Amino acid sequence: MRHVSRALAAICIGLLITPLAACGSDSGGSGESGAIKIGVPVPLTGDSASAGQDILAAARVAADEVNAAGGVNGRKIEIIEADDACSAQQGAQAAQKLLNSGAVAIAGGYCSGAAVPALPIYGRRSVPFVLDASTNPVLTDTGDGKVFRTCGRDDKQGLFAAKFMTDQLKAKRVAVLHDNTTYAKGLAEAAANSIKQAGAAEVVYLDALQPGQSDYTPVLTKIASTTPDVAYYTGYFAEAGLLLKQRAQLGLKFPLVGGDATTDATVLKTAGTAADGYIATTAPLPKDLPTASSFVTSYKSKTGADPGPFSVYEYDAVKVLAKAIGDAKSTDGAEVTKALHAIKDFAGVTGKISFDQKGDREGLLYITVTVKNGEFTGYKKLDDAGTQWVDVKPA
Amino acid sequence: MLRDLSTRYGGWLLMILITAATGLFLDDYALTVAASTLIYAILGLGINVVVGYAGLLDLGFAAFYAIGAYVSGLLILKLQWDFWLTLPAAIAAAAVAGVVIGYPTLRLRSDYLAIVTLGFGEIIRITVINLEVTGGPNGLTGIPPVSIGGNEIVTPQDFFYLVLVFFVVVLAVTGLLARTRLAFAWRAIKDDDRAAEAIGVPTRRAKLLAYVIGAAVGAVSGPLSGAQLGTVDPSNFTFLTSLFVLLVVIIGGMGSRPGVMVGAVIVVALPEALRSAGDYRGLAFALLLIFIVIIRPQGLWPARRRPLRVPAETTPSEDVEQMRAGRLDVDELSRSFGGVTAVRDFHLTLDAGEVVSVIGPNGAGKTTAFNCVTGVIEPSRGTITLNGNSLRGLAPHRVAAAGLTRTFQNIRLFDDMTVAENVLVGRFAHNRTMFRPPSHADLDTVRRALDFVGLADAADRGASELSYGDRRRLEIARALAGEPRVILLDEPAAGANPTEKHELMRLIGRIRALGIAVALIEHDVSLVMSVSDRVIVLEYGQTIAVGEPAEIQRDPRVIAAYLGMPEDPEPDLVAEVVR
Repeated sequence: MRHVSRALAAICIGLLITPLAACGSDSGGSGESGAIKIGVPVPLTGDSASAGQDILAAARVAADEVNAAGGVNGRKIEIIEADDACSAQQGAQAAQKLLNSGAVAIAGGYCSGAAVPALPIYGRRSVPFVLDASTNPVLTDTGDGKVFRTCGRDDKQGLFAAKFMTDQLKAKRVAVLHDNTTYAKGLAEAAANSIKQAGAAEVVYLDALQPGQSDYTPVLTKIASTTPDVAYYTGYFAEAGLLLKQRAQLGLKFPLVGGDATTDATVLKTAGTAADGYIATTAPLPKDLPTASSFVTSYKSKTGADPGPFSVYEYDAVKVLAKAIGDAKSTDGAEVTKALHAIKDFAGVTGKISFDQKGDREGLLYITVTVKNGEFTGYKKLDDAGTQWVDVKPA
Repeated sequence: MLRDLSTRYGGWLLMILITAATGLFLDDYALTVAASTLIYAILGLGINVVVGYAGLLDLGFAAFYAIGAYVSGLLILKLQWDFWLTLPAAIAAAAVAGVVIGYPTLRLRSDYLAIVTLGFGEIIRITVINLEVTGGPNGLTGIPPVSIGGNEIVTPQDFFYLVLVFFVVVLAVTGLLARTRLAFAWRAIKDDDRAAEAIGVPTRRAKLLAYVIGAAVGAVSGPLSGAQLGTVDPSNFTFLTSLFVLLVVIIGGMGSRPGVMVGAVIVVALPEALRSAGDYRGLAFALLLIFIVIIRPQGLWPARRRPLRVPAETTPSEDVEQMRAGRLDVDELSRSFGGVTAVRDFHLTLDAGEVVSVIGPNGAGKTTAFNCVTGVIEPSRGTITLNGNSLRGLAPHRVAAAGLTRTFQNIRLFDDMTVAENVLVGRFAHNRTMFRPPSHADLDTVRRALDFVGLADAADRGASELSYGDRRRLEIARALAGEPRVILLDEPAAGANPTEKHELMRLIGRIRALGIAVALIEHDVSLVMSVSDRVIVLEYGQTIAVGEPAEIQRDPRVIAAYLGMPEDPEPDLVAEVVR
């Protein structure tokens, strides 16, 4: 009887797998008729789900606008989403799911870890992937020219931060602190390397703190002992708030500059008045972008909420893909990729968009913000020529 | 033979064929999920060895997954090794890690062990995040696909079949493992590791092997995951991963290989199928898990074991009939706990075919003396020799192997095992071989031992189902299966009715007739006096009398201390207190 029950189990397992097959294989309109499907892989479950929802909503706003204006090549655009849950395993599964559903191009992503295993899967089918939020340099470096971003990349933020600290803050001695996460370490190393290459200043400290603790005075004391003119912290907001507060308690005078993961209201709540004058490098938020005002209005009217930090980049990613598909007059991956590379100064809400050979966005689109009257407000950015520091004007 | 094979393995074969056939109809997405499910199933088979078979709770199993993935990935990327060459390296590295974590922690009780393994898992993860060579938090990227004879395995379908082949191999290996003597040792350890040790199972070695084998099996999934994703991401090896792997075994059924398959499907594929529930997916999954655990606490497919094939008749063999003769000498044995001397200058000589009883009131030090002799506790002083070879300082299983086995005052059987299996574990005192199925000699002896105590009919019943008297007799059979020279019986008649006592007396007589020396702790004076050649009387750790039963019965000190004075002052005292 045992083998009979085993066979039954095998059938049960088969039955469990079948719904997977069923829900994945509705790959109708991937051909040359029907809606053009653009895949959006984002975390829809887990800690980063809210960011994923925000990105997805922005993609839908962009698609609606394109469709209202007549679509692309006479066809509508349809956004299809897949949950990558911010994990490598689920990222690969989400990629397969989107391809099965007939996605001809991908715009989205939030966690680099989920994007990395997905890239070769899209790459083998020559499906272009425009990243809206993943700033890890490795993604376009290994992307074979088929991966693009409307966001910046960490080493460019590092370069920007280095320029800001040495040009604008006139620092000669810079301490760099990260938290050993993928993003923070990459950014810290990029900043440190840029400072070393420019030769104008010295990196006196480069190390990680252990995130999730409550007392960072030993780290701060250690940094103070290297007598820096400025310290750059590339980790996340929770630790940034504590660092600011404890720096004030210790009476340390060196200014603390943060990376773009620190521009969160939590910093202000944790640090209180100790956050005044705190500066962070960041990609511009919707409110820092005068060109984004109409997007913000339509996003609000559609969702009833304010657009999140990556919404504008996702909006531009979908828009730029629609433009490329229109230019290519085809949904063939290789043609669309070629068209994406050919795009010059496309007017996105985040500024003018052109891609370099790797697929990275040209120019330094970062700005600095500072804490004034208990909130982050635009501070300095480089002008269009990339030489002069000018004030950031609110939208 | 063919028919036999098909009934034994037909179910598995059918299951594998159906899974393989399903692969032809699934699309790329479902195949990717199915491959991930199989990778988890391999991890599940690994942790099943540690937790399911040996009962060692491991909360950091993802560490071995990580070690497999990183070792393989690094060898491929840095030294340009081929995937297939990195496999043995990854398995070996995980096995070494299994020793590193296993060796120092084996003395710990299971709950502490769980905490240590949890820490180990985190140490591995934090180490790879901080090392330059492992790519830090970025992990390893750009791992090429597996190639077989120049063909790269890139499509999800090909990869699914590759993983399926791996899974089948691992399934077969763990299946073979489940039939070895080692598997019986693990089950005994899971039930009661001290009893297992005392009757001859080298428990430390068996536990260490569980870690090493479990780690090696689990490590196979690492290189596969690296090949599937083209990347090794440290966020794949968190505490949560360890929990999910553990969940595979809990949901499926501890120690059950088909259960692991079911568990992997539930843990990996079910959340995918629940995606349509959107935001409520996590909730639905959690509720379903709770539901499963309530409905089937033993797992969806609990382990069902084939009964041990005990031969219907024993083949006569001379060397077993002629039990090994032995002489036990215990001299000046003392043991103190702090300031209290539990046993002082205990003396015992016991020749082949003799029965010596140790009597005395509760707390007189009888069991302490036994525990010193069997290596359970270290004596403070004294010598213990069997046929002239010192037993002092030996681990209990070595004492058992030297020819001295025992029973326990409070019966310590392996309740999750059958009667025959209990006796089989007793064979470890005779033969410590682990990596082969129980031999004919083993099964023959099991049969003989069961016949000897009259439990042959109950061979396939669970040990816990037996009556009290039968449980006592089973313990004796288990001790006899190790073919001992000396057997120590600790209060075998406790709680027995007069008929059972009478049978026990006869049984002890027959054991003695085999040429085995019997040492007996007993309270039942009539039993002691009728079977013993000599009696030793203990009081407060001191030996107050030694001699033949008739002498002892007349000894005034013994009467005062133990047998009871004609005018016992105690009842008066009690009466006074009560009043």
